Amino acid sequence: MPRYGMIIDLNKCNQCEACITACKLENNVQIVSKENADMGRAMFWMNMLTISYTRNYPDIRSESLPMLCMQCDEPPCIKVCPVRATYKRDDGIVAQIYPQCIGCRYCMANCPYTVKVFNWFKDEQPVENEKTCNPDVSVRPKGVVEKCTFCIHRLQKAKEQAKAEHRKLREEDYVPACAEVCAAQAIHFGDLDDPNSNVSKAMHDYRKFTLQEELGTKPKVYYLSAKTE
Amino acid sequence: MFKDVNNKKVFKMKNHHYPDEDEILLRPIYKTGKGFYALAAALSAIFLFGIYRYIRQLIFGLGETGMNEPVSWGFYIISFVFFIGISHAGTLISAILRLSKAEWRRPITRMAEVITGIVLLIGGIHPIIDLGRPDRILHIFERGRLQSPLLWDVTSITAYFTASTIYLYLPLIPDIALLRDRGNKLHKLYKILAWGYQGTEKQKHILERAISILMVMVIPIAVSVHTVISWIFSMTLQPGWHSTIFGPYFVVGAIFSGIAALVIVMIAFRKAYHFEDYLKEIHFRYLGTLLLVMSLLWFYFTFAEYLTTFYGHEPPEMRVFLYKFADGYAPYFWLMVVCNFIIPVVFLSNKKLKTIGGVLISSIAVVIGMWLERLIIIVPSMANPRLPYPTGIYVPSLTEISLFAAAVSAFVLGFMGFSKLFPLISVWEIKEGRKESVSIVTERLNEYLPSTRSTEALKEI
Amino acid sequence: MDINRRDFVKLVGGSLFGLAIGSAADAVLKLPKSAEPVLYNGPRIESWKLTACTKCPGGCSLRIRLIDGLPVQAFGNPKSPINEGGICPLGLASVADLYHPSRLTSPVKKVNGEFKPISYDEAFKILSDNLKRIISEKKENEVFIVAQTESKLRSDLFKKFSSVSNFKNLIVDGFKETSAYPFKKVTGEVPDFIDWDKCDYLLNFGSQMTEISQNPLYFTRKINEYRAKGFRITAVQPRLTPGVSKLDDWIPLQPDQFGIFALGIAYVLLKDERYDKNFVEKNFTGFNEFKDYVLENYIPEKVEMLTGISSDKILETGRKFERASVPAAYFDASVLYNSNGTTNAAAIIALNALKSFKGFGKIKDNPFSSGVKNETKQIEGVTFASLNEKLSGYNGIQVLIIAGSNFVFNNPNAESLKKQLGSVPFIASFSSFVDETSEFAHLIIPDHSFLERLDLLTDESMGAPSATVLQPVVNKPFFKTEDTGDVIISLMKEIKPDIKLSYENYSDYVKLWAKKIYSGKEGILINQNKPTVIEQGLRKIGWSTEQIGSFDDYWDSLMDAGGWWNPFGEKVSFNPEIKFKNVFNYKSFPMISSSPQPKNKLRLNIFRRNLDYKGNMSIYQVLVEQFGNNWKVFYKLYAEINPQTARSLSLTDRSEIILKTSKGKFPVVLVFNPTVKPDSIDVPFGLGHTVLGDTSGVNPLYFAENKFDPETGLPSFTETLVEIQGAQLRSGLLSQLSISEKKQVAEN
Repeated sequence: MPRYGMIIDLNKCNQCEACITACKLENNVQIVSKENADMGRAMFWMNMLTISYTRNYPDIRSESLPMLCMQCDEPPCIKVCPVRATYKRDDGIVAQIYPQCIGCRYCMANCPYTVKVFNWFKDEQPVENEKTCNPDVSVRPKGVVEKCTFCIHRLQKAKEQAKAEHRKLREEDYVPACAEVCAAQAIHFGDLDDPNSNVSKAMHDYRKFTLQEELGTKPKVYYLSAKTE
Repeated sequence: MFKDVNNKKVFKMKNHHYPDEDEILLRPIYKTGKGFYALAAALSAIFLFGIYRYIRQLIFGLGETGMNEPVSWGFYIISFVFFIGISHAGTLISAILRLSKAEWRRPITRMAEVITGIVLLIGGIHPIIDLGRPDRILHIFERGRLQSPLLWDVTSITAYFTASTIYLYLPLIPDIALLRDRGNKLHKLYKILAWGYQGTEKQKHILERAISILMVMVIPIAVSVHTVISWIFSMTLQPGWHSTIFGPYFVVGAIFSGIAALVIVMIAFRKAYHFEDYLKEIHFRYLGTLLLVMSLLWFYFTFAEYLTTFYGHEPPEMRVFLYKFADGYAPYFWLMVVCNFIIPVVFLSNKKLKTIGGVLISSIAVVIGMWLERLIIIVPSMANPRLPYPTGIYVPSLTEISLFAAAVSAFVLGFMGFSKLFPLISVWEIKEGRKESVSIVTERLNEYLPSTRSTEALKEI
Repeated sequence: MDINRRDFVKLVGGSLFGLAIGSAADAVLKLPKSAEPVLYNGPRIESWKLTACTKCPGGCSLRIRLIDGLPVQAFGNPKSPINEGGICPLGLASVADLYHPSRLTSPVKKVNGEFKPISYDEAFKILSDNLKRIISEKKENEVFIVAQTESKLRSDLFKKFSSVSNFKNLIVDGFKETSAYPFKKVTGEVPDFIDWDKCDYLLNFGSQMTEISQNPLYFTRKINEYRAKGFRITAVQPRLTPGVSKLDDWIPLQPDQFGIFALGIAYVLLKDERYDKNFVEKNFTGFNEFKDYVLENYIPEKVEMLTGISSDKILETGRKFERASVPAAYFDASVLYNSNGTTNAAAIIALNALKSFKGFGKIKDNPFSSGVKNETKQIEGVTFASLNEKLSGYNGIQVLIIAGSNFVFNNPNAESLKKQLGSVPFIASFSSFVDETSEFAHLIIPDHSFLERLDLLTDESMGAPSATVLQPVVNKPFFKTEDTGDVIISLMKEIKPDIKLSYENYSDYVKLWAKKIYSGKEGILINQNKPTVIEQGLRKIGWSTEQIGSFDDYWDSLMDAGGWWNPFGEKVSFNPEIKFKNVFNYKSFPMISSSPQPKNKLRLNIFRRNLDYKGNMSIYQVLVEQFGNNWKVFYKLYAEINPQTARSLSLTDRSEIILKTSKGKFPVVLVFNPTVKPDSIDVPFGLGHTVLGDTSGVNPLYFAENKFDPETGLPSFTETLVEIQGAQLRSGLLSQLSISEKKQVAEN
């Protein structure tokens, strides 16, 4: 069984935010109304988060990173779910079962990365985006929690494709939308257990870190810190 | 509904035959004033408005509330913890008083138990109101995960509700029997509820035995309920929640707010139904002392909780800490300290101020303060995530406020309804007390008082 | 079939369960209405088509995902040498163009202030009649054409049209065209690219290379490679943009002082005598005067006094620049958005000249360097400066033709511009949407969306000529829109019937350009892998494995491949003649153009983000939402301020405040950003449309001073002073923060 993971090279990342747009459009994430956005209900499965500032002005630099679901190996969210609406798959992806979710938002309260979002209202999309909805991804009903799934529908498609072609799943067959669109090629995705995958190769780097390691959630999204010259 | 002419006749007749020295306790069941209807109508209006807002929420989604990201838990969970906390008034206090054979408990226990019953029902509904998909509530039973603290909660609240309802019901049986015997429009209901209780020695013995078993059982259940509720929070990784002290802290807070709520209810009904003869100042003084002890205990826990946070000085914890102490939630925090500590201590440790009025003021302060405490525990932790996201802002919407108002009015309505069906002060226990208390207490005192024989013996030596 | 009890229980339970699931699934699988036919009725066949993106100057190759023939998503084409599979937010959102509700679906004519749909023939007749009337009245000088396009083919066609019809007043409002302007003025020649392979020190003056530049995605990758090699980039910019935050060296400087700083660097080079003496002798007319002038006036201490950049820093940067074997001082159009933009650019060019433009290069055999069949007489075109001038005069303009440009939104002088546009007798527009500029049009013949068009997007910034194919991905245009290229060609035929054109329509015209590639027989299609070193070597000595058949076959394979490029071409160095003296009197070089900032006011620094290119973001709500996500301030204008400054003004984070400029007041949400210059307040550009797309927020440019570069007529984005209502800046505070003023005090 593969164990999917991601490495984001912050030295390469240029914060162009294409991953955010790609994620939003790929997964038909709701674009909430202005009033709701103003209340803090905008839904993003991926965010650009400035985690710290180093040094003083004018040598000051901001450390920003793309934030998505960390797909923890020890996910705090699934521990507290009362109905198993969120669970860890054998391939390591922390998935959501939308029809099972009762909307108690306990998982949101327990996510130390604050990456889960809730459908406060019925799905809303601006007209121009309705037509560009990705038909592979269902629109979530109101009242359930959702989050990044590593574009799990792409894995499904890739698996079916491979099966139809009587071959094994190749590494390049399955890549989440954010990794696909990254112009700086800063996002590597693949099987962490396969020593030959791009991800495993990129892992051998002294710059590697995960967010809030001390919590023991064992994220499968790794970062390579920006090099300081 | 009690104004039926025929029934009045019956009442009069029975009354004539069996004049009762505790008639005043039963009077609310037979007589209803205009004020009662007016108040009930007003409260029902508030309650119905709450229902209307809830139906809106059902149709349009939880967006009707003021919750957002990252503050995804708000008023509903605050109300949940608050009401369940108040429910500890009852059963726990009455059980402890019974267990310690405090004779002054007799006029108090019934009201305490009623609070538990009503408030548990109201509090227990709150998590369901808070659900995004209440239509899927049965998923909890179909495919519930016992590992989730939410499931423990469901379990313990149901257990507590069952136990405390039975615990309310059992001591009620002799009074129901009394009402049955007196005759009433609801004669049939009383007949069923009385279980054929005739007050024989054997029945009385069984009843007392059942009550004493239950009162021992109910204490651990009550303690577990609030501990489990605290675990909902402390089992998470949220800064400000992940703390071992939370279990006892919540239990202490619960008993604290419970006593305060009990005092308020007692004073209100004392005034409304003229129970001055039964609920004397001494009762309030005793309860006031209990409240003072709990206030000090609460302060001790609060102090211990925040001091350890401050000395640990972990950045995410400190962000929440500072938010409570100096930033956005500072006004609420300090108001809470005033309400929960300063006012009770000032009023209750001073003999001159420890009057019924003083106890009432401090009780009201404590109820407000404990509500604020729940607010301060829940919102600042949600608003300040571990990662440096901007601090969340939470403003409750009309829906949440009106549902809180509806919950409070449901509580009052429930109490009023109960008072029209059953006596609010246990008649048989009062009678029993009048008959036996003095002798029992004397006997008991004699048991542990040193006898005068010892001095005589000394002489002999 | 006998059913025992257990089965029966299962059955009942199952059906109940099924019911529950059924009702739940109904809610889960709810797709938008428009997707329903695709989901339920369509065969749901997925296909992919290659095209290009026209949303910014980059011209990335796109892979469009179609479901049952309808475009759904856009991704980058991994084979493209430009973006290598990358794509930016604008490109991702761009598919919505096709389905946008406010898109114009047919030509419209303004009747009583409202747009009424008319037929194309009628619209064309109105337009051509107007132009014919002008020609007959010999008022060609009173026609203005503003064409915003990043396509060289299109801009060439406009130039052709302009020269054929003698409408000399053509403004090509394109990024590349604008960036080239100072080079054309100073040297007459324009470099094609920065030589990333050779360059070892890059001094970047104000270009947001990875965000808004000639080729953002290519630069993104190249800068990463460049930095991985250990070379350095020094960014001179007023703001720590995302691209800069990865760099070691950032010199915070307002753009109006770029020239002074560049000449300060030049001083170091001249003083150390580490400039290319041969080159300046040969190519730099009047070098000695220049040298004397710089040595006299741009002493680092003096530059420090004027700019606030410490003389040590200037010396350090100068030394880095002079020691580098192949340095480049880079700038692009963004430097020009300033009241002394062209002068600053000229100073930067002069700095490059001292190192003989080593960092830059030219492509030797560029098939696109000249127009189709070399027949286009290159006209210079005019700038916005003359448009502004003409518009403000009485009866200055009879006919205004706008193609894509939304210059009203990009102009601080919008109020009077709107009035002036209202008095122009005839305005025709080719915009697909009614925007702030085309709302004044009398006639709009909407262009196709870029997914319905054919074009070649040529580019040289990779150091290799390339052409990405923009082709229709839908079978036929959705609506009654008309390709602007076709309209222009028809117009040429209509107003000059005797003209002989070698093309009938725009697609013929594009094919003529493609023939240049075909006949050159060089380069490869982009569906092939990048050539290895061996392949490049073999190519150089004439080996080729490609079989090229007829042009039609080649055209088809070009369309399938999505583009062409020539990585084997020869690069030559860029050796222009510097004729400084003729163009600028460098005595008028900025000593200091702006008066020193008053102590009690902050500088309003309006910056651009890559979610928006010249105000085109608002039609994509997904981007407008994302625009606010950084600070979680949605659909409102935010203003970034240095926390130090804010605290001294007793302002709190995320408070709503009113900013006051000389033109008026506007509300913003204040956010704390420690990377902002302490004496300025940074406000993003892109919100605040009045008619186009999302209309939330405020356009800060409308409140900026009416300052323009006299050369290019481009507005200044950073030269407005601003006050915060209700918060008085303590005098002397900023002097604590900025060194320059401290120095001045000391000198006094």
